[in-house]
Amino acid sequence: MKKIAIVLVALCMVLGACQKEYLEKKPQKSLLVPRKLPELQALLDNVTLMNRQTSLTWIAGDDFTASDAGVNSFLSVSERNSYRWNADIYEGISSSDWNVPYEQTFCSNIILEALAEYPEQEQATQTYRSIKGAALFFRAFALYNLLQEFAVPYDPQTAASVMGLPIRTQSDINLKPGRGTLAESYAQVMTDLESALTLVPEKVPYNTRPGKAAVLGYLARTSLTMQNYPLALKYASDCLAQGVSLIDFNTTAPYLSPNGNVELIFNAGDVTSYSYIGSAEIGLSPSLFDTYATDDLRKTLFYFKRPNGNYYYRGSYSQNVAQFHGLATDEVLLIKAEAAARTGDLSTALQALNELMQKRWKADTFQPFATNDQNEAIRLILEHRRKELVGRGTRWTDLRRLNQDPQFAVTINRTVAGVNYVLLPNDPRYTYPIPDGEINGSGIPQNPR
Amino acid sequence: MKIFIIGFICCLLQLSGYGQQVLKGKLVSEKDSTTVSGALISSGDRTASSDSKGEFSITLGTQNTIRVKAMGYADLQLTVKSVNELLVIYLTEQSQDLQEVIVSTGYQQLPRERATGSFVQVDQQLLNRSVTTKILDRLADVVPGLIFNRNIGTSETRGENGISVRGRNTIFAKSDPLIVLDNFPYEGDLGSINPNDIESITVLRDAAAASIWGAKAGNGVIVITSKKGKYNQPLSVNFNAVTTTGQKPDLMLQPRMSSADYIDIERLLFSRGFYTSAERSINKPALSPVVELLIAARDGKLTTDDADAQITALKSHDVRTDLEKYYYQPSFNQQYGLQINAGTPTHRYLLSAGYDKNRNTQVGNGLTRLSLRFNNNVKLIKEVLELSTGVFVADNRNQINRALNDLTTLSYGLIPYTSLADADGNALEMGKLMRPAYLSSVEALGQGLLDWRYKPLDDMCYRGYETSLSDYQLNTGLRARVMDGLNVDLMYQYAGQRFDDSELRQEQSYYVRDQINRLTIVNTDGSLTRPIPLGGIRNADLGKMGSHNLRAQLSLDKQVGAGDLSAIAGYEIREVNTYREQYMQYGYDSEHATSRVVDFIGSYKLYYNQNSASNLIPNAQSMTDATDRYISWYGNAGYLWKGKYLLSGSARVDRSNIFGVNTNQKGVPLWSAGLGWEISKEGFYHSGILPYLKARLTFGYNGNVDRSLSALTTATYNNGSGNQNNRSTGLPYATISNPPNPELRWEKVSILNAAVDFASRANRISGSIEVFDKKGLDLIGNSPLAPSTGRSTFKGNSAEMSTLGVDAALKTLNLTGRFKWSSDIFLSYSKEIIEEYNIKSNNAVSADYVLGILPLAGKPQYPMFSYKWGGLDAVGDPQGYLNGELSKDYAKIMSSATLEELVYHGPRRPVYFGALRNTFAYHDFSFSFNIAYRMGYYIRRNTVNYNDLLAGITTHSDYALRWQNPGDEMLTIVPAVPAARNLNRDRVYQFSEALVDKADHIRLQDISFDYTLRFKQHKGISQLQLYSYISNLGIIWKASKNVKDPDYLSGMVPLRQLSFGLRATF
Repeated sequence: MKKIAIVLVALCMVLGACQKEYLEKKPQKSLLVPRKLPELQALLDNVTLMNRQTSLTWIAGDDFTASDAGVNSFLSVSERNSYRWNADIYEGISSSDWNVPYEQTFCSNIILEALAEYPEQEQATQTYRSIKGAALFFRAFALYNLLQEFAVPYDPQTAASVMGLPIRTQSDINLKPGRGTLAESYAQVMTDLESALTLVPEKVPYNTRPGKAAVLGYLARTSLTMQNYPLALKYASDCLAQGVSLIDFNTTAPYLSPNGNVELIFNAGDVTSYSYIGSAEIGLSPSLFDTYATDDLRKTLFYFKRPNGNYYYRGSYSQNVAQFHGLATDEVLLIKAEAAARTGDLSTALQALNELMQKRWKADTFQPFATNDQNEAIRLILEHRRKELVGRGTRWTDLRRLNQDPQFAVTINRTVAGVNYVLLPNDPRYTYPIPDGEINGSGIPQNPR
Repeated sequence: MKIFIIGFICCLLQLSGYGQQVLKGKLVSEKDSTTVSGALISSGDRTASSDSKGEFSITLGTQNTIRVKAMGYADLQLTVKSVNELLVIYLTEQSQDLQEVIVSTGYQQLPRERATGSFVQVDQQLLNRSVTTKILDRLADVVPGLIFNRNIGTSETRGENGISVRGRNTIFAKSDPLIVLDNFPYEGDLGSINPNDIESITVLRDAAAASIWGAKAGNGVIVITSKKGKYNQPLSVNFNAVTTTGQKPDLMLQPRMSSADYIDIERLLFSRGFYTSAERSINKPALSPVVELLIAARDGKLTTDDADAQITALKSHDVRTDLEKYYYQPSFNQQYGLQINAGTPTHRYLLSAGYDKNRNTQVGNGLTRLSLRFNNNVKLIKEVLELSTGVFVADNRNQINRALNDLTTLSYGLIPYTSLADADGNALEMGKLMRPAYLSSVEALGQGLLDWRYKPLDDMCYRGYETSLSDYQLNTGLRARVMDGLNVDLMYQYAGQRFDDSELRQEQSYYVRDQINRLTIVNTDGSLTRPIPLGGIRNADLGKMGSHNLRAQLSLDKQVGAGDLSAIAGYEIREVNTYREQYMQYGYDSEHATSRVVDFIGSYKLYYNQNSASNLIPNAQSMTDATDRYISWYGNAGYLWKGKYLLSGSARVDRSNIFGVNTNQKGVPLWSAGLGWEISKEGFYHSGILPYLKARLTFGYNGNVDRSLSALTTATYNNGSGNQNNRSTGLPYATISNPPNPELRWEKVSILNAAVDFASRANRISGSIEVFDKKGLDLIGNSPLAPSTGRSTFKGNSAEMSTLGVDAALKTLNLTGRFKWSSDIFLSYSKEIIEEYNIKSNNAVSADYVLGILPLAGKPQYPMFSYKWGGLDAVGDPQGYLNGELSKDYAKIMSSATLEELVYHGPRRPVYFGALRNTFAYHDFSFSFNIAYRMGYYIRRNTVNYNDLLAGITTHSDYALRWQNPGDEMLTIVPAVPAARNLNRDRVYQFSEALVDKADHIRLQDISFDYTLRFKQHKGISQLQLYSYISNLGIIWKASKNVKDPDYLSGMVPLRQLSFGLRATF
């Protein structure tokens, strides 16, 4: 009996000793606890989540119109309600336009927190710095996109006194940051982008990862939205100085280049595949189509006529399945042009505009745009901004900004099933309601609508 | 245990005192004078067994006494007076009920009398009563507390087998009971187990019975014990053959809208321009025949009269008649089993083979199963060391014909008037993805594309495939007797499984032709480039599973003080690895097993849409590799004091690589304790009515694991190649699957069980009543999160639920004479309540309760809520209530109805269930039938879905009952067709109280009949049993008049099956 006891005790000790390593085996090989740099990079490379932008406003803007049958065939209530600018958009259903950017933020924060645990000497490597820069960039990208849909338009006079959106800089799900002010929200976007600027590499191997040009481009875009034109001009110029390319439409169509569109500075798509994208009953607003000059190559390269008569927008500037909502050289040139015009530097403005338009016009027939009138220059630039950036997810933001100036304000009319709908400039419906799930979950105040 | 001994000696002769004498004798059954073979006869230290004639010879020991032990007969001891003549010994048959019931926990076998826990044993006789391919199906309606859940949505089953033992005790974790086959958890396919191999099944229902299984026992445990050979048994051969035929399904029972009604809707939608977008779409999506006719009439290609005539002709056709004709058949199942077993005093074995061949009701579907089992035990050193080995191999092949799936997955569903064949039975074309008219125009171009047409009936033979699955197990065990009453067991099992679910679609199949054509490029010189090469497309899906189990166990049986101690303690280590890979092969040539390389990265234009430049060749490539490891310590002890007081306890510590570090460190054991008291053995107890009375009380904890969670932030790696979303980079990427949860721990279920067992004199009435109170603690539940946190919900140990219930079982011997009649009755009651769930009701999400998405504290896990019904108004619109007033603001009703405004009916799963089985026997005939009932729950009837219908998808036959004219609101509750799609309007009706019904019902589950022939003097066959079994006889009574079968709302009621079989023993 004693012997047995000894044997048993010995057995227990032996078996007990090997337990720890035995139980450290990963239950799933594909599972990982994100700590190593390649793992963090893999999280950033999840383009399905990270490189997506809010897109419900695409259908609410004035670039596209849908037939009644088209509106009825939209699959989600939020699309049908957006098209009509209804007060209630979601009818109780959650919205990916709200959820996805915050998932991007969560993921960025997880990465930033994992990076913070690295010893200082390892923080100097380029891999480390570019991952950190990208995480900051994506956090800014997400918040900027949210602000365009769910916060009131940025007006420098009132930004410090109106509500912003919850700013999340930690992954801790127990935090409840509240809405803060709009100025704080935009300041957070700018701070993250400026920090990213010091970290990201000049060149990136994939245009889904942010490089210096992308960060500068988004700084320019954000500054423009904030109507800080001198800053927009500076960042746009810095971005263009990074050696970006422009396609000549005389030789290459933007969506059919075998190696991808070289104009793309940062590649992103719409947040979810809303059904309006595939609908044959949605076409370019006819009045917009008519404004393209015959020699404007965009007229034929961007659109073709469907059998039902409407103009199909080929859409994907990037060849991706999703609509291209990222940043390309043409937009940066247009930001530079507008910012320069607004600050009174007409020659820079026209130079930037003509640099772009030369590549968009039929060779030989192009006459450089010229004017001495500041307002005329701005009008010209805005006209081509609209015609160049169709379907790129920027129009809603532009409407919100330009409506603040009566000179450029737009009233949108549309008719669905015999009912006429009007969206006046600066209407509260330019700000989307926050989905019910968020209001119930965090108790933040709703937007008036 | 009582033993009745009735034996007498025919010949009494004088004692002889000289030397060792050899006795020759013969064993005969007292009841019918048949000979008894395989009995063990012992005298002193010598043993012998009776042969097939029942004869034996044995050298008598010094006392001249012999003992006779035979299966099914009472033991006998007698003193031999003479050896001069053949001694004929009559044996008394022992009633089954009086045999000692041995229950198995998977760790030990113990007599039920020594147990405090709640065990239900299903013996072989009961298992053999029904005929099924799968062993677990034989537990239906015979085990108190065990229910097969029916009518549950796919979201609620999560791929599980749907069995609950004493209610469901988890919300998100696995809810299947643990299945144990011969000592170890069985991870293989349950369909691999041949029912003929199984000796008995024990269901462990409470903590004292199951907590020895620790963190896996939360949902109850089902212990399956396979047949083994027995020592001292002559060679015995058993053969079983049974065939089962089943009805062909009656598709007309499905409540579907008529063809004529559907055509009216198509006309309406056409007039509204609903199909215009599709008609003009560059993708040329298929439209229904009626829509095509309407287009032709509109465009002047057909006169309106011609179109109308053709449409009218379509109205009378129902596609279900074609489906029944070409896609369904009566089922036909065959099952054969052969067992050979024998034993000497030191060696015993059982060899079993089984073969099943099933033809399912769907044409082309079926299975074949071949299983082999060999159990062998050898006493290496007599009474000291026993070696057991077991080998089990099963090969399953499933034939699956996906042609029917292809036929029904269409953008508008299967059009109700579709004709699959013409009058001569020739296959007809049908528009599946693209319009037949477009395909004709492509053909007319003569570019050499493959035939692009879809003819469902022709496609059938190119779509069938076969999956194969093999299961194997190797068991070895060594049992050593260290000293009297103390044994050491070492057991090792390797269990493996391999499966191949690869599906090959041949080049002739529509799927492959379509895939090839859509990317085909017509070059300027007229030649074709095919990015997808000619040949079949194979979706390879291969996998394997392997588990290693090692157990070392000490068991002690010893008299301690005035009682008997029986204890086990052990250590167990276990690893389960599963591996699976999937990939696609193109240009597959099955004859030579070759495939061709394709470019998964390049993007192509669609043949029919040259503006689409971004199409990839589909590439489903994935791999999973998962390993679960467990280390466990366990112990169990029972002490029987003075033969009437029982004390039991058990404890187990589990550690695993899936719990996370903190939980392993905290490692609180799951334990149980139990008390038993055999009151009828007390001196003060003198009851003539209930001579046997025992009380039991147990309490303890079982565990359960949600494998999807981890204590750390985890992310999942994804293969970037060929993923449509990551195509721009092709890089592997990771997604966060779990936010960190350092507090994660296993779910715990506490169970308090109080029971009384009783028996009247001669067991005329016997049974048990058990009352239990289960509490699920630390259950994984969702907590709501504001989406701005980046997660919309958080999963953690936050929920609690409780189940209160009663399981009562009663057996009565109503007639015991020549004509025997006995009844087995059981009643189970279980009431589940969610005690705590952190996502609480708020106005905006009350729809979640009606739709059954969210558990709610204070209600069962599956509650039936509905909207208050205000009837139809004068224009046929449904009305609900908003703030107590009739309302048609559907969106508001959906989004703002408070919980108080909803109608709560009751649970969606039965609260009471049970069965009554009557068995009649006369001579060699036996007849029994089982009536099962389920009570106390509610169902929601299906009805029209206008949201679907106005999107062109056919719907429920309630459409015919809809409001059509003013005044109809007095006669019907089915709303009028709305002007436009309105999901909320549909829901206010579909989820209203008007469509909720009581589901209570009683059904005649089955009838069994058998006739046993016994052959007395023949060599060879000794017993032959013929039997017949009829199942699914239908509903006897139901509370609701509105549904045919409350448990099968889709109309696909279980089909009646008839089996004939024979069992022979040689």
